Amino acid sequence: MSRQKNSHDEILQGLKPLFPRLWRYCLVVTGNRDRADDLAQAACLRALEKSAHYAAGTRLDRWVFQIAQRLWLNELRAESVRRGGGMATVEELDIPDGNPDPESNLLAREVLMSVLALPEAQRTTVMLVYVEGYSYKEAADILDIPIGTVMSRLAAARGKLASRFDRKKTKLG
Amino acid sequence: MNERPTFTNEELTAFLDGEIDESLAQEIADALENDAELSARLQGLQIDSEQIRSAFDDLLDEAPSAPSALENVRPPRSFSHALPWQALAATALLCLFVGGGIGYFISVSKQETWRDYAATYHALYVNRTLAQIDQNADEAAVQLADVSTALGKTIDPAALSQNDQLDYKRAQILGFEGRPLVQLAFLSKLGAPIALCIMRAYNAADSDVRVNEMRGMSAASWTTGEFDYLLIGGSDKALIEKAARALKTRL
Repeated sequence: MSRQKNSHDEILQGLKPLFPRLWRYCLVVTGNRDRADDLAQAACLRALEKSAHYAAGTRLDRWVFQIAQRLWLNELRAESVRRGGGMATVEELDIPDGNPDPESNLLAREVLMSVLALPEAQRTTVMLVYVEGYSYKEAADILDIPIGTVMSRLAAARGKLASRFDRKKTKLG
Repeated sequence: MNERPTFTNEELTAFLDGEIDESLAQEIADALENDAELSARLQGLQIDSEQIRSAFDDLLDEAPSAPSALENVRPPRSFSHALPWQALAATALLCLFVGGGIGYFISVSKQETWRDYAATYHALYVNRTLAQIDQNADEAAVQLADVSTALGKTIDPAALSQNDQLDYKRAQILGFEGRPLVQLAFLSKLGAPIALCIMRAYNAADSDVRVNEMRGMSAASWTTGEFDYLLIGGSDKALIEKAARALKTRL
C-alpha cells in the first residue's frame, strides 16, 4: 500500500498529528507557554514555506524539530530576550491531573520541574533523546551540534537530575 | 602497578544509553565489576528515562490545536473519502474492531511508536467489546494459526489459556506502518479488557518486562527473540506484571 506524495502534501498532512509533539518540544526549548505557541506556529509556517527542501518520505518530525530549533536560535530567541519575561513555573504550565494516584502525580510533576529547570541546552537535548527517543546522531543533526556536545549535555543533565532525586530520597529516607 | 583506564562521564552516559560501541561497553562493564569508585560514578549518572518520558507525555494533552492553516486537510489517498479527519479515523476504527480477523492499514502519525498506537486504540475497549465473544477450541485454534502465519511466530493456544486471571477471547491482525500487529484480547476476572499486542522487532535485543502506565491503563512491555510485546489494560499493575512475566516465558 504505497502512496505517491509530493513534499508539500506530505508536510501539510503530517503537521497536524505532529503538532502536539512539536508544541511540547517548543515548550521545553522556550520554557514559556506563550513563546511555545508562537514558535510552534512559526515552525509550521516555515516548514510549509520550505517544502521544496523536504524530501518526501523522509522523517518529517526530525525536519520540523530542526526548523523549530533554528527559528528559535536564529530569530525568535533574541527578540523574546529583548521583550523580557521569564520562564514559566510548572504550576503556571498547569499540568492536568491525569493520574488518579496522587503520589505518582506528584512525582511526575517533580520530574517535569527538574527537567524544565535545567539550562536550555541541556533540557532541549534531554527532550530529544530521553522523551522523543532520538539517537545521539539524530539529536546532533536536529540541534546542528557535534555528537560529542550531545554527550556532554546529557552527562551534565544526568548528573543534575540524578543528584536531585538522590537528595530527595535521602530527605524522605 | 597496572593502569586502570579512566572513563569520562560522557562515555558512561553513552554506555547507559546504549550509544557506545561494543568493545568500549565491554571494557566499562568489566571495569565496573572491580571498581567501586566507577560504580559510584555510574550511579551518580543514573536516571529513570522512562519516568521522564511518561511525565512529559502528560504534556501532550496540554497542546493547543494546530494552526487553522492545517485544518480541513485532504485525508490520505489510501481512503478516498471526503470525510473530515476525525470522522475518518472513527470509521476506520469501527471497521477495525467490528470486522475482526482482517487487517486494515490505519493511517496514523508515523511519529507514534507502535505501542502508543496500540494503547490509544485499546483505550477504546470496554467489557462489552469482548464479553459476547465465545469461541470454541477449534475456532480459536484456526484463528490463532492465521494470526501466527501473519506474524511469523507460532502462538500456542495453550500458552494463552493457562492464566487463570485472564480469559482469552480472540486474536486479530491489525496493521502499523504496513507491518502486521497482532492483538490477542482477554478479559480479566474483573471484566477489564486486556490486550497482548505483538510486533516483529528486527535486530532488537531481548529486554526484561517493564511496567508502566499508558493512556491511563497499566501496561507491560518487553522484547524476546526479535518480537516486541505489549500487555495493556485495566488498572491492576500487579496483575499485568505477573501476567506479562508468565506470558514472556510461555510464548
